[in-house]
Amino acid sequence: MRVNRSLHPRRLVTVLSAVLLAIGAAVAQEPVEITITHTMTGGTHRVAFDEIIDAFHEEYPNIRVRQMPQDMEIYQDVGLISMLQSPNPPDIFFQWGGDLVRRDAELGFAADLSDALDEDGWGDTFLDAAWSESSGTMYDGRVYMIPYAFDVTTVLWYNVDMFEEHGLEEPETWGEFLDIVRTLREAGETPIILGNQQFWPLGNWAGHITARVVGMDLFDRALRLEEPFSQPAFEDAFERFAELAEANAFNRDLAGLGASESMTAFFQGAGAMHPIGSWLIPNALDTAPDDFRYGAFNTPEIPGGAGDPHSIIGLATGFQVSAETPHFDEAITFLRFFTNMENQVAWAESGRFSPVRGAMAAADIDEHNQQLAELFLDAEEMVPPPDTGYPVEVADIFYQGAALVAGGLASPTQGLAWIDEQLSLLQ
Amino acid sequence: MSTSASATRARRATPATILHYWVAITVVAGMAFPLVWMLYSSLKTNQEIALTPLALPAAFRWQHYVEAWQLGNLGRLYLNSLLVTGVSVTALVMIASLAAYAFARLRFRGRDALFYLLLIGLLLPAQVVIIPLFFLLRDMGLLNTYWALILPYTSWPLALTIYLLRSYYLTLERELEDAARIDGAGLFQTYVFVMFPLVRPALATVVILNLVNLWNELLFALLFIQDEQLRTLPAGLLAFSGYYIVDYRLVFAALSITTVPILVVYFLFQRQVIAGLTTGALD
Amino acid sequence: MDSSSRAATHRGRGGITRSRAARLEELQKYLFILPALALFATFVLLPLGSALYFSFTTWDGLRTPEWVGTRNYARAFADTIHVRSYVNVGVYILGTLVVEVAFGLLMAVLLASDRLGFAFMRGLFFSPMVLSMVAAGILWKYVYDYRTGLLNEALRAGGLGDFAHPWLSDPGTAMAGVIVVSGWKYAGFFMIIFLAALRRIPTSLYEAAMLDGATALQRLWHVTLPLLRETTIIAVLLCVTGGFAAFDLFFTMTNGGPFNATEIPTTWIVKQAFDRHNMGYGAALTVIMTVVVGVVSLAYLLATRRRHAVEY
Repeated sequence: MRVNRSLHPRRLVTVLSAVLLAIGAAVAQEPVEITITHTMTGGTHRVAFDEIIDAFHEEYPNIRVRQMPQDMEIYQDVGLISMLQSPNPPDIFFQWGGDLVRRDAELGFAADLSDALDEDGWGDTFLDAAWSESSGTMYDGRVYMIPYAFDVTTVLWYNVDMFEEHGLEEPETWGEFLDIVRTLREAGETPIILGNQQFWPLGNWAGHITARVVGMDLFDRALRLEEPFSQPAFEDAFERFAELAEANAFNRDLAGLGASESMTAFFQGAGAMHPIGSWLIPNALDTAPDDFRYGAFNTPEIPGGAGDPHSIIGLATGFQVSAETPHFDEAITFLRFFTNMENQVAWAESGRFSPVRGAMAAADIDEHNQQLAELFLDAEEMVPPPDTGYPVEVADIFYQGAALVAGGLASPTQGLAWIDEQLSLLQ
Repeated sequence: MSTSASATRARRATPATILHYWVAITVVAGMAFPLVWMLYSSLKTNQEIALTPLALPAAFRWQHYVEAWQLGNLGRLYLNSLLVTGVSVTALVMIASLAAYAFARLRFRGRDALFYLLLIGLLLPAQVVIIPLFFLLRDMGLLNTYWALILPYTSWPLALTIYLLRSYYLTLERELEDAARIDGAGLFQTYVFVMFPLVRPALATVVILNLVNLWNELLFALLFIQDEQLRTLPAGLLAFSGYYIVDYRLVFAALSITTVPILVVYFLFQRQVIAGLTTGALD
Repeated sequence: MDSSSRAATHRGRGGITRSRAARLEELQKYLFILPALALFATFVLLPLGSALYFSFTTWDGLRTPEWVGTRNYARAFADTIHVRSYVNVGVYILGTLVVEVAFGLLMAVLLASDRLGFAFMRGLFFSPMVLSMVAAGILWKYVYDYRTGLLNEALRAGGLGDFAHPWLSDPGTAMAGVIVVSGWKYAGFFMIIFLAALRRIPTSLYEAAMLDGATALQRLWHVTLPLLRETTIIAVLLCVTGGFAAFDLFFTMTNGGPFNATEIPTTWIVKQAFDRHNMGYGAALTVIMTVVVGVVSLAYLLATRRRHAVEY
């Protein structure tokens, strides 16, 4: 069928179409095919997803699911948007909860799923948090995304062996955390390894620290461009990044390393800590050495901060259904199958935080996932990551300003002034 | 090379000759080494590459090639590239030759104005239209189809190709053409049976030039095709290296799979390829 | 009178048939250029025109474009990263003039020998030209890698471990890193161009110089280089115009980073348009680039025209 997708000869007045027509004609008709595009290009969750699709094919032989996985960076930039605007948009597509779900709903890319969720109480099988304001699954009181996981986008993962070797324990406060960084650096280790080439890895963490220090309210207003960043509260927040730069906390190739490269380097012991999201778990199951021991702690309490000291930064991710799909029912059939208890238990066991009620409890889950689940319960606030909660270019600028300070290339005041200067160009 | 200064000297192993060889071999070997390193690294384990990047492989692990081929869907990428480049270059050269002949030999109203209009395309890098082109293709419903590449690939090199072929047509003798016309052949008959066969040497050159350029094109391929089943080699290779960025052996294997055949073809047709790629810069 | 109209005159001797046939043939001529013009108009001119229109709008590519006058242009000149991208591409072009053109010339002189093996070395030296920038970029990313890269490992093996460096992660060295790869890829191209020019130099000139007792170095300086002047002009201009069009290598290796140190107009345009969905602003940046490249290319055309006047 895939060759057919490339054919729109009716729009073309050229002899060349004959060439592709011949290929298209040779392809036989198949049962209903639904296409699903996402960013799972590897890891144990992809294995679990493949297995779920195999099981689906067995149960529904008249529906075929074709996956169209894409590299996450490309997907985020042009990948998804151009597929949605093509004549054959994918029937089901992955999305990050928040600003993008609202966009897809507003512009009519995504189908309203509320009625489908009402049927047979499908919606009630999810945790209440799935349909809350901060989950980012809703627009205008209607549901536009079936969440498939809660993702914490930054916690501090650490190498247990390295911590034990240097007699370190999980810190409670920012001061203790800085002491750990200094101890590790003095011992000749790289305290924190991160690949910040695309700015979001450090940027997410910077967003979390900033929200903790300045409070959700001010954080939200500044990212909506209702307040300048150059003000004492943000200086206080950015001072934390300057402290990290001063303590020489990061790997030398922080600014040029890719996110996934840095994760692998962390697995190989190139650094003691790695601030990244919950997706580390499926990747660790897949690529970390078997004897690699790791743990996680939330960003430590920052004294004097105006935000919830135990907040987490995170969001829901899930699937949207194309508003134009000719196979809406088949798409829903698949999503119901995917979110049934049996499959969600398998999904949870592959390392994802299932939003389906009871799935996490029923699953034999990884201890690290258990740990994240506890962080989740402990938090009163969930800080939306700037790049999914707010317009992406605002987030980009904030991220880069934070990176300048954390990279030791600018003082907090300079970094914030840089952000304001760049943001002033947007209006 | 009888014109070169060194060649006039006797062929003895003088110290100067040895020095000449030594410098030349050192520089060229240094330039070639990254490719050699890529080749033998593809046979090493990730562990070996990470711990001893310079060392030769402990064993030849050809299975990396099988793995990269399958995981990267490289066969598919090759097919897509062959299809897209093949169709584009064929159409491009046919269309360009037709126009080049008209611009060189036929007289009609507006000919020079139209030719100068076309020359705009000679000056501009394709990046300057990337935004409207994206939306044009979207509105035509062509994004994520082979057409999204074939049509721009056929259109963008037209200016240069017509320009080069026109220069060649201008050098051809008029006798045969005139004879055909006197014998009553129509314009198209004259073109197809008399002129087109004569332009073949120049065609080979522009075919090679465009083949290499389009085969390696990234920007359009990256933006206009997202479906990995339809991707061409450069975009597919970039995506592959993104997925498996830390699976060094696979990336090196995939790089080898996508570069070695091209290099082999190049060394087989070295003279023609070099002539093709430097045409335009050399007259 | 050109051949076709002359042929038409020869053929038609009777009134009506002749003029109708001639008119038909007149129309036929346009059929020769029709396919080319149709494609060119649709996929080159039309987008160029729309880029100009979009450059006066604010548009996210999804909703309806909104007319904002020259605001995008004002923004472009206030956008420090955009301004810097031209400085960066200038640095890049200067660097490539050294590692592509000058090095290519040097290699042409070095490899211009018909001794055994030199033809092969020339072929090898040219070979990166046939590879894609993507393959070159990916390969060299591994060469530059801080932990496992070929370069740092070679330094460590040679006892120069202190010089091991995160080449592409340091704003101070990233551009140089990209320039070197550019040289690796293109020096062979310029070598061939200079080689062809060297071959055009008549042997008699060297013979005369030798009779005058000139040393090899003197012959290079007084005979070879002056005669390569015209070729050098072409090479420099090809290198400059090619530099503005650079994208693939930057996208593959650094994508403008770290901290915009390798941000060039094309990467910044693609970021604005396709990462940040600022189609209007991105379009304005393409219009500015079109003007800049147009001016540079015109200089190129003028220079080549002058060259034809000074044939030797």
